[in-house]
Amino acid sequence: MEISGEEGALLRLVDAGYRYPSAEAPQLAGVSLSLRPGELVLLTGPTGCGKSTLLRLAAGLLSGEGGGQATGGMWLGDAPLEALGPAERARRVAFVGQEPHDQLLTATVGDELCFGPASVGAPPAAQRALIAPALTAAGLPQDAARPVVALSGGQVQRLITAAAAAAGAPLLLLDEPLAHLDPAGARALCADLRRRAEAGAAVLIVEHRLEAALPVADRVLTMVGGRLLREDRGIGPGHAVLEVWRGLGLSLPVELQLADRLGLPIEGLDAALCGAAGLPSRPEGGAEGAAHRAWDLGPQRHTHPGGGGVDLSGLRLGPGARVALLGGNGAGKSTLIGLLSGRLGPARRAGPRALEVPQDPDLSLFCPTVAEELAYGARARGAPPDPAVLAAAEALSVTALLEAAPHALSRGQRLRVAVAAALCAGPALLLLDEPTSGQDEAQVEALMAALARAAAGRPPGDPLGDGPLAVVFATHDIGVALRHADRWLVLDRGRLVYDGPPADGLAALPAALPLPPLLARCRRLGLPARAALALLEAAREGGAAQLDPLRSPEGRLPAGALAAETPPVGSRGASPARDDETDPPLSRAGGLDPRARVVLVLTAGVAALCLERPAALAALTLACAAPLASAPRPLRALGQAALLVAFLVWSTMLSQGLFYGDEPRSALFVLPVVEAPVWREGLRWGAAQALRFAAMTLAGLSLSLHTPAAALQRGLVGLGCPPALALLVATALRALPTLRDELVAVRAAQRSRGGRLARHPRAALQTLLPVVARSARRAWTLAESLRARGFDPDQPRVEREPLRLDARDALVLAACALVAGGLLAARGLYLLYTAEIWAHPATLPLLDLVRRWL
Amino acid sequence: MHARLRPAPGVRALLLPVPDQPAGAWTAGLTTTEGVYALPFEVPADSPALTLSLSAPVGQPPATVYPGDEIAVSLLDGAPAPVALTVSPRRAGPLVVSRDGAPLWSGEAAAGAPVLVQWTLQDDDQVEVTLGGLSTALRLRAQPLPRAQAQAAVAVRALHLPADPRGAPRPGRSPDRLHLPAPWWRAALGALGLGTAARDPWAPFAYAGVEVHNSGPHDLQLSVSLRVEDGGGQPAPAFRPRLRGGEAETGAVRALLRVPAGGAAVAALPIYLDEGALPEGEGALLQQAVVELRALGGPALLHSARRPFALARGSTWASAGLALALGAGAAGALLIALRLRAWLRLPTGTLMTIALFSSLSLIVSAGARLFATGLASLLGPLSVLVSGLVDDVLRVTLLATLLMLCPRRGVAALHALVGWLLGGVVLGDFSPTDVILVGGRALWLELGAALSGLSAGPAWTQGGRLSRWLRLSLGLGLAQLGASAAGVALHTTLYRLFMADWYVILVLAGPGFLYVALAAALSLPFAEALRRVQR
Repeated sequence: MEISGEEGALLRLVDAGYRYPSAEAPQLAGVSLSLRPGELVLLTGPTGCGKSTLLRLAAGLLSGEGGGQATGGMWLGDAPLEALGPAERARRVAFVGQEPHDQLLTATVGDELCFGPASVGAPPAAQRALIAPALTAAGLPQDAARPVVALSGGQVQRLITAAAAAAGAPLLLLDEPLAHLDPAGARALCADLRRRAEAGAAVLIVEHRLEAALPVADRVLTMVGGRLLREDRGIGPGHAVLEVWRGLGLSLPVELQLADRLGLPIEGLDAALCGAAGLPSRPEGGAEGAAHRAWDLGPQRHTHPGGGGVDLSGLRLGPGARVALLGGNGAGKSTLIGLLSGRLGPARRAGPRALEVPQDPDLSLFCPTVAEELAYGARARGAPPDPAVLAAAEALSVTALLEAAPHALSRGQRLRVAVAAALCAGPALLLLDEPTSGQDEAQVEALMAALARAAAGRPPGDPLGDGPLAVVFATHDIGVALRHADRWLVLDRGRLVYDGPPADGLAALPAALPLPPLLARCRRLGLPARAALALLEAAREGGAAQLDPLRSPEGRLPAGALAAETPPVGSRGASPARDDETDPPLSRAGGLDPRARVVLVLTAGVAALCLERPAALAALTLACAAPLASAPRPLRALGQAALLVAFLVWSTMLSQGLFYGDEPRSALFVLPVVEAPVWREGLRWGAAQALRFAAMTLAGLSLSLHTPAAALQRGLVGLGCPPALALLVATALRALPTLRDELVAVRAAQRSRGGRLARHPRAALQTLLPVVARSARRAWTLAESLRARGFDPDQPRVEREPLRLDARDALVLAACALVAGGLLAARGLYLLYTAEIWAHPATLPLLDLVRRWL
Repeated sequence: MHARLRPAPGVRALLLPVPDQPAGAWTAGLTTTEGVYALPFEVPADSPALTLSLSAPVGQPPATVYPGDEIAVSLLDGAPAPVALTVSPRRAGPLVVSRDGAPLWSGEAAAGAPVLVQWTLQDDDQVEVTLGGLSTALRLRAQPLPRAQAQAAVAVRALHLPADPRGAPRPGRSPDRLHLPAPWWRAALGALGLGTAARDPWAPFAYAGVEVHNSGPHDLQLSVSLRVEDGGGQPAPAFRPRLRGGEAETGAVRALLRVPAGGAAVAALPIYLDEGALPEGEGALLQQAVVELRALGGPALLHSARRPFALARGSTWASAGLALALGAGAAGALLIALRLRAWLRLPTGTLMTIALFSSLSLIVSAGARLFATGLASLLGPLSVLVSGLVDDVLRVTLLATLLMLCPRRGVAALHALVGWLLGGVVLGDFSPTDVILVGGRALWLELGAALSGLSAGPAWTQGGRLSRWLRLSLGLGLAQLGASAAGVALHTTLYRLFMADWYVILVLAGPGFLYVALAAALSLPFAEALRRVQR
């Protein structure tokens, strides 16, 4: 294949190849391509063809990490790739991976943007200057202190893209950036990338969702089996590549595919739709279990603490129903699913047994093998596991994977396993939250088809339970909702605005809800959605007699057809962050320098070690708890602190007073009885131990509550900790709330599938399994993000806001040094005295002071 | 006047009586082996002609009495008690001491020469002392005290062991425990010129402070005795007092104590130790301290108290353990200092995995710690055997999984280091002793991982299940054993804990090793399920 435009190319690969360490054959071979400034190139191909490997190879992420073997020549600009250090590479190429949230390295928007420049040594002034333009270019609010957890999915993707390019790299490589975005978010991101290309960058996107990416690409590369198959430009209906893509199983843009099939230009689809409006479409409304009574689920109401929620006066569902929950961002779809599953709101006493497959199915996979995963729910309901496992595996096409470890499977396979595991638990109502997210079209179709079969009915004695299964799924994908649901529930700001057949629901959809292009045409033309369905059916199955009229340019357009609407650039949002989960911005206003804070905690530790009297330790505990008064929820924080201290003191006093009695031996494992003798010295010692532990814990909690991870990281570096080590600590610190939430989610999933939770180490390991698996994946993504942004453990970072000690910080540090040094000296002298090693008469007054007060 | 005294070992001060002199300026000459000292002093012009001091009963330290004083003397069951009056005249002259008009002593008194008069008190006595024309009178009031009343009134409120020479609890010392340091330690202190304890075998090894309370209406003069018995109830040979105030047969030491009515007093009783008479071996010796209260001048026992205590002898094993712990800690700290930069150059994916696993370990161990604290109130020191099944097993499982995912040198140590820093900033778990504890832990982990091949690369992760389990058990078990032993050694030294040998063995064998093997077994399927985690 010819390499076009090598002159001035920002990326040049000549006969490049790569083999992974454990692979027999190379993943890539003989790849040659170049990218010039101003180009936006789309790289597509079937799953596993090497697209992601090519991207990572070009970004320099595969050298030195995986141990694989790279071949061929690779240049970034005029420099060979292997000659570039991390900083120089970050200045030349920006890489963005698949999971946007897992690539976040910091807690605020400003810090995220400046991470790369700080790693490559950009001066602080330059870092501060890049923030505003970067936010504007990315279409993000001008708020550098905004916590990243408060951003929607699309905003995070745009932020990550901006952050990756912030070091000034003119070459952007993005790996499936649209995977988790809704159509509007995808279009917004593509528009952003187009703007960057027009501003002089070279952009290479790997994507198999061509709907949004194809229109903005200058040329498209198709890859198969580790090699570049062809390069195409100006792809429209009738282009030869379309047939190639069909053969490779790629999902073509609907309008392009339709126009190609009809032999029309894209513009001719309006008339074709008008013509198709008169064609019969498939019967609507699946049997909602006409032979079964519908479930009256009653009112569904829930209000979130931060506002928003759901308020439905009543809801009826029929067994066998396939219901799509639709609505814009924040409409309440996930909340309604939570209510129906019992995760939210009061426990439902009546109604069908409902089971939820969460948006992230990984957290519901906690068994070592797929077979055990499926059997878990069957055993919990007392059903023989083997038949249920086989039935569910067959229904979801995972029979071949029964002996595999769930977390070793692909994303689509994991989702099917999660659904199969849910089916094995024998629910009557299956709830899925965004099952299409991150799936390609083939995977989505396979899953929805399996659900349709399950919803069709389970005969008596079926291993998966009796009676038809009702399926409710929340989705942003209107196309999926159109094809696979026989009833729509459309929510808008927590209220039900439509409940009925899909085809008539188009008009009820909120204007802000992004529609696929074909449906957007229908709405613009004032046509019902069935027109699009009919046209698609005709294009798929129809003969010439059906298609010819549609191809006619005399197809009628309705009078007063609306002008084309530009869909609002909205995006699907992540769940709104809870207030107590957001990191406070890194602000010095009213706060101590992070180094001073860490030193305070160190001093508390020294004091706790040196003090022995319970009264002194109690005073220290109070001092360490004082900062909690300015925590986000002070009463709650102080109350929890008081409970913690009380529990520690009580249990430690009890254990020391009862079990270390007058006999100087240890032992006595009998349970305490009312008249048990109590060792007073043990009570005192136990109280001291407990207060010591409580003081240190409260000091640490005060520090972590009031100090963002980024500040702590810089504080540690300022105290002499190696930057890379401080980064590890900050990364671990930032992960704590996420891990905690994931553990809770896993337990909830176990509870919903298994009823009573087991309490033994094996059950605890089951809870840990999915969380650890997620952590392992997250670690790889984080590592890629770090390396892509120039992280070098040997190079110090240049911080955007260098730490400066003011007078108060210096005073605190001096006081801490004095207190800690004095306590250590006094304790040391006292130790020498009590151990009969050494005592100077001049120190006797000090020793007496220590004995009396400390 | 000359006085010659041989000071007792360890005595820092001598009280030398200076004879009463007429008013004026005087100089006392003190001649010692170190030289001659002149000590000037003055006798005021208005000093009384004579000074009276009374020991009632005899044995009670003499107390100065003044003209017109009425002194109550308790007589147990009304039995007579000897009393002694010392008259110190400041001028010469005829001296007569009479009781109820009958002369007890008469003669010519020399200035400054004290006169001792003794008699037996049975009932109230009016005592008159006449020197020349000067007469001084005082009254002794006999108070019969029934024995039962005395027994009911007196009690040992507290027994402080060890105590200082004043009878107060010895600061910084564990109660009911005497420590005899290891011979090597004492030799080292001696060689360095350090050490503050008297090692003269003739000096008391320790003191016991006996606090006696008198709830009756009369003052009580008591004899307080202390003896040490061994496990068989016999006087412990090693604790027999030497010469001073000791009774050879019973091995007891005595002290005289006056306890005021409704008040309390503390007697400090010396405890002597003859190391040569100690039984062979190491470890603790359980003894019984027996305190008996008797009325002064009589054999009747008023009250007794027993207190078990232990003599902890310096253990070679404990010393070796402490040395090993300190050495391992220092070596580990050095290892971290030398190798940290190289470890931080591990692949970024490995570093991120370490960070996230440290985060998970913190969540697991924080919860387990609270659980263990609550459990300790039910099971005491044996709670660690139960809580370890949760805490240790989960932590080791995570560590084993980490090593299976990232089998490289430095991973385990870095995990320990990040875990420590994270625990410090989140839970305030920072302490000066961490240098030793964390350093030691890092060293043991790297050593265990290296010796068992866990950090030599991924080859071992492909082996059979048994071979992987053995490597994990041995490698991590060795590390856990070393770290646990170091922790035990350090905590017993820092906090002066005492742990029975069987308890130490149980803790090291259980949570220290066997639980690791269990965790390794549980971690294998866990890690296998994760080994091919797909992105």
